[in-house]
Amino acid sequence: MNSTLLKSVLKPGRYSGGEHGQVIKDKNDINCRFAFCFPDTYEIGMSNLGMRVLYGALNEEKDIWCERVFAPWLDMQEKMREHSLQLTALESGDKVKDFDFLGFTLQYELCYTTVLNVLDLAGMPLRAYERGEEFPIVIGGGHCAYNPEPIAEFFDIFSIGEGEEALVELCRLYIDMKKSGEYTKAKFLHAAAKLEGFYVPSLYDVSYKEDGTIEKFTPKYDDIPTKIRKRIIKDLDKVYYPTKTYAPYIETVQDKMVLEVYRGCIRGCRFCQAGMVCRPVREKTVDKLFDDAKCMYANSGYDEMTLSSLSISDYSNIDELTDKFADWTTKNHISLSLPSLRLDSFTRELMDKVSTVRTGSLTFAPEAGTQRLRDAINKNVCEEDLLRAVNVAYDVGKTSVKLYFMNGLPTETDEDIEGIALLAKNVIEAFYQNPNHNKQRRPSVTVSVSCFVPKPFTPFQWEKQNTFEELMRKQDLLKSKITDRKIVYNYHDATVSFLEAVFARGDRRLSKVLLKAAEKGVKFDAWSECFDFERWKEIFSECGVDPNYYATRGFGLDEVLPWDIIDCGVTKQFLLREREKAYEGVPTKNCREQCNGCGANKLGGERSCCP
Amino acid sequence: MLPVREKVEHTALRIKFTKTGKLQYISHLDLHRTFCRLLVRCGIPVWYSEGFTPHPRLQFATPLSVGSESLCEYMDVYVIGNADTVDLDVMRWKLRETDIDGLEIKEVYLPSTKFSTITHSDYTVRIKTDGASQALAAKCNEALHVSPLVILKRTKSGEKDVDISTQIKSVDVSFDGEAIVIKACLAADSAGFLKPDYLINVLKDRCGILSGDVLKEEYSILRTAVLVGDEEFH
Repeated sequence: MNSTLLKSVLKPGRYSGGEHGQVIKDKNDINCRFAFCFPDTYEIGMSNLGMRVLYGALNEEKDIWCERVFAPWLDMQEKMREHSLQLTALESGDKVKDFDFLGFTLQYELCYTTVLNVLDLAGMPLRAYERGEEFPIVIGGGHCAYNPEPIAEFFDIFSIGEGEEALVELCRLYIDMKKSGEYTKAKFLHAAAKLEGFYVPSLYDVSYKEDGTIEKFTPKYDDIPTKIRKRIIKDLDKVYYPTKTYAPYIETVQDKMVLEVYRGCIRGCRFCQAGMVCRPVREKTVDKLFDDAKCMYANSGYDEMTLSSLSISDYSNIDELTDKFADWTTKNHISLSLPSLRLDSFTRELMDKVSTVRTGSLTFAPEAGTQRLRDAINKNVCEEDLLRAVNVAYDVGKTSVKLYFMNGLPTETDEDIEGIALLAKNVIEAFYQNPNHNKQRRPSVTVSVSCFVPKPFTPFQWEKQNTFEELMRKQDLLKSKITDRKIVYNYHDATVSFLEAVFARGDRRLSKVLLKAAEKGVKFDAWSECFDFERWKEIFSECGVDPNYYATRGFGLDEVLPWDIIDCGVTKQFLLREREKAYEGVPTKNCREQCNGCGANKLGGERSCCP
Repeated sequence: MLPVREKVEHTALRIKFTKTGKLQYISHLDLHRTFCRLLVRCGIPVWYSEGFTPHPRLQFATPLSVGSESLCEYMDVYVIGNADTVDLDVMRWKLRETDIDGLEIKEVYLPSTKFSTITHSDYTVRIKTDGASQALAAKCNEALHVSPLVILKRTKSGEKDVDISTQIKSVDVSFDGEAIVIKACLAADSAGFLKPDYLINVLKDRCGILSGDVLKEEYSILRTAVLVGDEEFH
C-alpha cells in the first residue's frame, strides 16, 4: 500500500501487514486463493481464534493460499474512497475481488452491515446473483451461520459448523472442477450443496403463509439435502491446531497464546447458543495440550497463555492439566489465565495455580438475581456458591469482583431485578464478614448487565424479547435499587440488543433492510460511535419491515423457523422439553451426570461424554 | 503475598539493530513487545525483574516516530550472567537470523556508555514530489537555513510557536535526479529532540512540496547515525 497514505492514517500497523508468522506463498504454486475476512477492525479480527485456525488449516495445503482481510477503520475508508482504491488482502496486497474465494467469519449479528461495507470496498456487487464468474465465491461461516437467512442474499455458500476439514474439501472441489474444465459458478454451487455441511441459499426457495410466517423451504434440485447438517471435527487430538501462527505487532484486543482445550459444553444454559450448537462435547488429551502449548511458546515467544473453552473448569482433567502446566509456566515466566470459570468450581487450589487470578479482579456470571430465575435458565449455581467463591478471593486479599447478569430473561419479574442488587450487596457484606479481608482497601463490586437476546437453537428461541422500552425500565429500576457506592453498575444499550434480536431471528426478507442500510453507509454497528438507532428506525420504516415481528414477537411452537433448514445436532424436541422445564423452574442435570437426549450424540466424536 | 524470589546475577547486553520497511509503522511500545518475544524465540537467557510481576527489562536509546526508518537503533536488555560469563559469540549466534522483516541485528556487545550521552541523530529524508528539481532543492535549502525558524509545535498541553533553528546542527538539501534529499543532523538529547517530520512540515508550508497527488508523491525518513558530539554512539 502507498506509504504516504499509510503515514496519514491512525495506526498504520493495521494495514501494513508483514507480521511475524504470516504466510507468504509463491503465486505460481497456487491453485486457489482464499481471502479470509473478519468483518471488523484489525485489532478485533486478529484476536479471533476461529480465523487463526482456518487461516492455518487452509495454508497447510500446498496449493491453497489463504490471506487476511479486515475492515479498514473510518479514516482509511475515507481515504480509499477519495483515491478510488479497492480493498486488498494483507499478505500480498492484491485486490480482494481477484481472489477465488472471499470468506467471512460471522461472529455477531451486528457485523452484517460491515460485511456489506467490505464487499462494497472490494468493488463487488452486494447480492450474490449480481456477481458474475469474474468475482470470488463469497462464503460465510461461524456462529451466525446457524441462522444465515437474513444475509442469504449476499452469500453464495454458508459453511455450517466447524470448518477446518470442510473448507479444505470445498477448495479441493473448486480446484478439481477448474482443472477438469467443467467449472462454472452454477455447477460449482450445485456440487458444493451436495457436500456435507454446506448451504447454498440460492438453491432453496422459501415460501410464506398469509400471516407472514414461513410455509416451507423447497430445494431446487432433488439431489441436494432438505436439511443441512453441521460439520464437526470428530477427534480434536488429530485435527490441525495453529501452534505456529501470526502475531500482531500492534496492540490487539487479545494478544496472547490461546490453547483450545475442548469444544462443546456439558451445561446447557437455556439462553446460550454456543452451549447448544457446539455440542457434542469433545476433549483434547492433556498430552496433546501440553505438546501444543510448548510448540506455541517456542514459535511465538509470548509470555501469556489462555486456556480456551466454553467453561474451562468442566474439562474432565482440569487438575491434571493445571498441575502439568504449573512448573512449565513458572519456569518460563508465562502467565496462565483461565477465562470462563464457573463460580461453583472456583477453589483456593485452582486460584493458586492460575496467575491472572492472582492479579486483577475476578469475574463471575450468576446471570440472574434470584434462585428461581437461575433455575429457570438452568444456570445451576446458587448464592452459596457465589459467596464461597468470593470468600476464597477475599481470603487472599482481593477486593474487587465483577458480576455478569442478564436482563429481560423469560419469566423475569421485578423481584428478579431487585435480586441482582441484593446479591451485589451480599457480596460486599461478605467482604466485611471475612476475617481475612484486605484492611487497606475498600471492596468493590462491578455489576454488568446485558440484555437477553433470544437466539436460534436454544430452548428460548421462540421467546419474545422485552421491548427496549421495557428493558430500559428494568435498567432504571435496578439503578434505583443500587445505592451503595461500592457497587458500580454498567448496562448494555437496549436498542443494540433489540437490533441483535431482529437479525438473530430474521429471515430472507431482511436482506432489503440490510441493502438499504448499506446504501446509507451504515457500518461498524458494534461500535457505539457508529451505532445510530434512529437511523435504523428510518431504514425499517422505509423498507416497510416491522422489526418487532422478529424481536418482540413470541414465535409459534409449530411455526417453521427461518433456521429450520439447518440441523445443528440438537433436536427441536429437546429444545421444547427444555423450554417447558424452564417455565416449571426445573433445572436439567449436566451432560456428565446424565444424558438428556439432546440428539447431538448422533454426530459422533472422540472423548465425548455422550453415550 | 510478595513471592520470595532468588536474586539472579544479571548484566546489560546492547543490541544495535535496524527498523526498516513495514516495521516503520509500529510504535515504540509495539517494538518493545516484539523484541521481548523475539528474545524468547531466540533462546536468549533474558533476566526477569524480581518484583511482584516479573518482566524483562528493555531500554531503547532514542525514540523514533511511526513512519520513520532507521539503520541504527540501540537497545539494552538485561540477561542472566555477568560481564565475564556472558558469551557474546553465543548470543550473536542465537540472534544471527531474526525472523522479523525489517529487523536486522547489526551488533551485540556489552555496553560501556549510557544512552543519556547521545546528543544528535543523522537523518536522510527523501521526498518524491511534483516539480522536484535543482531549483526546488535550492529553495528548500534556503527555507531550512532561516534563523530563527519558528514553527507551530503540537504538544500534549496544546500548540505553541517554537524556534527549531537551534536544534538543527546541520542541514543540506539537494536534488538527486529523482527526489529532493535532505541530510540533517538534529538534536536528540534531553534538552531538545527534533523530529525530522518538522523539516518536512516547514517545506510543505513554505515551498509547497507534497501538495499534489498523494498516490504519486512519497517521502521516507531514515535515521542513519546516532551521535555523541561528532562521534558515532557505541
